[in-house]
Amino acid sequence: MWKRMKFYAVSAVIVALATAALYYRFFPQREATIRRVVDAPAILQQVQQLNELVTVKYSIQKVVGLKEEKVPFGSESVLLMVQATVLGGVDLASVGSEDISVSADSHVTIKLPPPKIMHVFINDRDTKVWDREKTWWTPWVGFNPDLEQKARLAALEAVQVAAQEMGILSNAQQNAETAIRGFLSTVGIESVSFESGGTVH
Amino acid sequence: MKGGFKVLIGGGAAAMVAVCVGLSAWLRVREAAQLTQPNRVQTDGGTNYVVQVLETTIGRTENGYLLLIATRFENPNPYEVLLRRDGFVLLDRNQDSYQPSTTGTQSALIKLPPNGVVENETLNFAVPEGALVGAMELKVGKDRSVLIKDDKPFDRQLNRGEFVSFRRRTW
Repeated sequence: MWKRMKFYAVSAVIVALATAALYYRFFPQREATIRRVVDAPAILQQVQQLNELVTVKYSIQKVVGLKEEKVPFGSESVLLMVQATVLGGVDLASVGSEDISVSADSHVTIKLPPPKIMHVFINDRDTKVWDREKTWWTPWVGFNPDLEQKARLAALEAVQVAAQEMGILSNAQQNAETAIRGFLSTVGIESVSFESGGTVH
Repeated sequence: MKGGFKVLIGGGAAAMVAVCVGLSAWLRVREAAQLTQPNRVQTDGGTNYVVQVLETTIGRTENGYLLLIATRFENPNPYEVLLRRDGFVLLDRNQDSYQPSTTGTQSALIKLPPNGVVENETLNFAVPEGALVGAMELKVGKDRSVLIKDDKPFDRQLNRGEFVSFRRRTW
């Protein structure tokens, strides 16, 4: 009886060791082979002139969960609590001399470009990973190091859509008109109207 | 004899399960390969480029859904190619079209470097619930579309802010 149990126990250990050896042979830890250079200089990739008039800022908090379905089986999910900032305004770079007209009675009409979302960014200090898990029955599937980044991108898009649904573009338009009107009044131009998308304000 | 029969039945059942799991895995891998196959297409001006859909992610927003399509672009030309983002239109079963977002995080132009690759360029679409009841395709070039979703209606209940990503056409 004991001999048989010993035989089973030794066999089980041998099978477990063989399985572990095969697992590490065919699913090596890829992270171990990644070499990162930490002393690379900062590279300036692009310089762009900006003529943006940012007129409104929304701070939005959102909980975003992303579940990634693996191929062929299993899934991994991450839950983020995101704090993001959305800036809206108008791009004055596209305003040309043909967009500004002055009538005989000194009334100024300005054709403004449509308002748009200028920047969306996540405030890292206030953003947290709330939960992260994967299916327990797929132990061979590793954690995806890019999943959190994917969730952040999804959160950025969700925040952007939320800001649009909250009316950031109409706020940006109104504030731009108020700002330009205020600026022109300081140089003595009191009568100003704006044209945008066929409407006059 | 009795014990041998039991082992035979058990072994047969285990083999059946293994075959079913294997077949199911093979089908899923095949589906993923179908979605991610490269498409060589042309601009209206005749310039070649290659588009590959990598993954689709669907998420719930306040008033509808947000569809994020991760793509990979390859430029085989020795010069830079600029693609208008709003040329990549999403079409639903009723041939209603949806323009990708070109504001905020999304630039209006997708720049493909000479003989280079743009990895993981995302095209974002805000779509109403009704668009997800049937097949959807992405127009990737002149007279060329990629099937993103099959005919099966998307009936998974998602909460606001919840996203799910797929590497297949069946959601």
